[in-house]
Amino acid sequence: MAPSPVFFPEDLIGEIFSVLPVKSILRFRCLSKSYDTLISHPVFVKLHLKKSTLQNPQFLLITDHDVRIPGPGFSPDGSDAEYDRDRGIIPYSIRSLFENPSFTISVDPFYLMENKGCSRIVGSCNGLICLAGDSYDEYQKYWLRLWNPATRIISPTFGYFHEECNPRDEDIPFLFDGYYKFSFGCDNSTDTYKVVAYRYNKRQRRSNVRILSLGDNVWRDIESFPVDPILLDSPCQDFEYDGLYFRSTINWLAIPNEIDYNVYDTKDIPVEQFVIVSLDLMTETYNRYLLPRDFDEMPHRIPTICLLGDSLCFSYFYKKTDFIIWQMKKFGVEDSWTQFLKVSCHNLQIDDDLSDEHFIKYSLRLEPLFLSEDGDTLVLDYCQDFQAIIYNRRNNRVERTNITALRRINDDGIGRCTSKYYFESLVSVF
Amino acid sequence: MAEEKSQASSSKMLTLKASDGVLFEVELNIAKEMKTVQAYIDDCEDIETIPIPNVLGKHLAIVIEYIKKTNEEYDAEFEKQWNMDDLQLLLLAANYLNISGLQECLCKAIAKRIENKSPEYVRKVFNIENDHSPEEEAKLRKEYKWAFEGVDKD
Repeated sequence: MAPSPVFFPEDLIGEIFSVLPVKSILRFRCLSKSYDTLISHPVFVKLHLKKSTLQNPQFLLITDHDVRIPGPGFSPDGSDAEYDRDRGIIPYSIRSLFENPSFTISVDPFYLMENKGCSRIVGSCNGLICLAGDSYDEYQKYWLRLWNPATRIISPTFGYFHEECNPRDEDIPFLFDGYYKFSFGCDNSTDTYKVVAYRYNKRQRRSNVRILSLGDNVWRDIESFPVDPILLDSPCQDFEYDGLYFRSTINWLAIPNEIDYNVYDTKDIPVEQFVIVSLDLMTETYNRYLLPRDFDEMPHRIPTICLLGDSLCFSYFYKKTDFIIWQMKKFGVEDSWTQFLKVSCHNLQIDDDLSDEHFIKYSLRLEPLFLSEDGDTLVLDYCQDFQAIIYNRRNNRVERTNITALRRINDDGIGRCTSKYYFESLVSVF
Repeated sequence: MAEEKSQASSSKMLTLKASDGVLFEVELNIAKEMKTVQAYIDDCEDIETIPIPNVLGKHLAIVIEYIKKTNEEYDAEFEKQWNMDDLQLLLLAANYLNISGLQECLCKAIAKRIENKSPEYVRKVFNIENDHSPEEEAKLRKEYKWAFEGVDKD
């Protein structure tokens, strides 16, 4: 191919490259010194980040599976094998989901948590995934790692802290201070990534909240939550009630801790006590937002908040027959709550499942995941197994997806926990 | 000189003169999509022929057609007809004429064509001189070995 005589100004080159996938961009660092400088420049990274959300939105499929550890006796039938749990995080593209709702993805060991020394997926922001590890013996110990799966770079561990108390005393409430949970986000005014650690302290009878800014790596205690997030004192990670990162804030659905509630039996929860607690990462202070006024009846499952089409949304099942999504059109303005969607479970083709009381209590979960740019196609995460629902609002068509994740090594099927919205970026983990 | 002035500005015609002398008569509202031309008109109100010194007649024709026909379907098929040289010249034209929709469409098209290519191929496309030392380049290739997997053969 004859060399082209065309000369492009640098900003045009930048524009072409900003819509390339990360893999291609990193390969093109080889082109020349000036291209390498262009690609590595923070201005370009930011431009690419902006385009990435539109160009190629993705999901992170968070998988949960047993890892078989051969037993010491190597018995031929494997009966002395032990099992441990491991998690995987696998990015996949929304476009390919639309093109082919049933597909198989390979779980490369690269995407497994076991080799990263962490057990928790804290959250993702701007293409970075925050992981956390913990260990409990004499002390509770915690640490963090930042991972960018697109550039394949992971940071060393940081943010280590420990709490001096004996976890075995958790049955004696006044001695046990509680386990920490984490959330991750970015203060966009200064491009500072922050991790929030929080727990319910039974002894002090309030929450403890601390923040770490990447860079100075020091945990700073901040004020307690004005209202406690749902399931704050639960020892497990419940993805549904994790903090939700949105525009330099982290948001939780909250209810005063004085109110005794049970996630599986919601009928006695006073619906007017629900609020959204929002931690502003810029000022490190809280705001409280009321829910839509028309939300006046407690559903069978606690509602959830999510992001859809660049708005904060609030969704729940209504009387077991419908699924409703509200959008906060102007973030922070309670009057701007607008009912975005009310669709019958029949139209979503899930009404059969809803006839099972046990299912409703323990397994039912429907999370809005993604809204197409034209606002017509909605993707919803459904329950525990590999199913997402693709719902077209215009023609009322429903498609169920079936994604099978195979472990590359031994092709065992894997259970799935949840999916989270994500996109690629070149952002550095350091 | 008698000028044809009509009530609606959209039916007023304008002449664009490409770098190789080819003339194009276009409606005002089409010409206005080219922000560079719009700025020209704003500066000299009763101009009738606007020189476009950087763009060949062949490419100006394509640009004008794009403005007239652009929609989602047209854009999706548009880039398939042109080779890499034409795509690049069209992008320069769109950039000079300041037509953001066309510029975006062409950037995506060029990106798509180089996405899976080797650095050697892309250097030829953009006429890039490799000033990395052999050691520097080897280091980068090693560090991003995985990014070179599955690349199209040149």
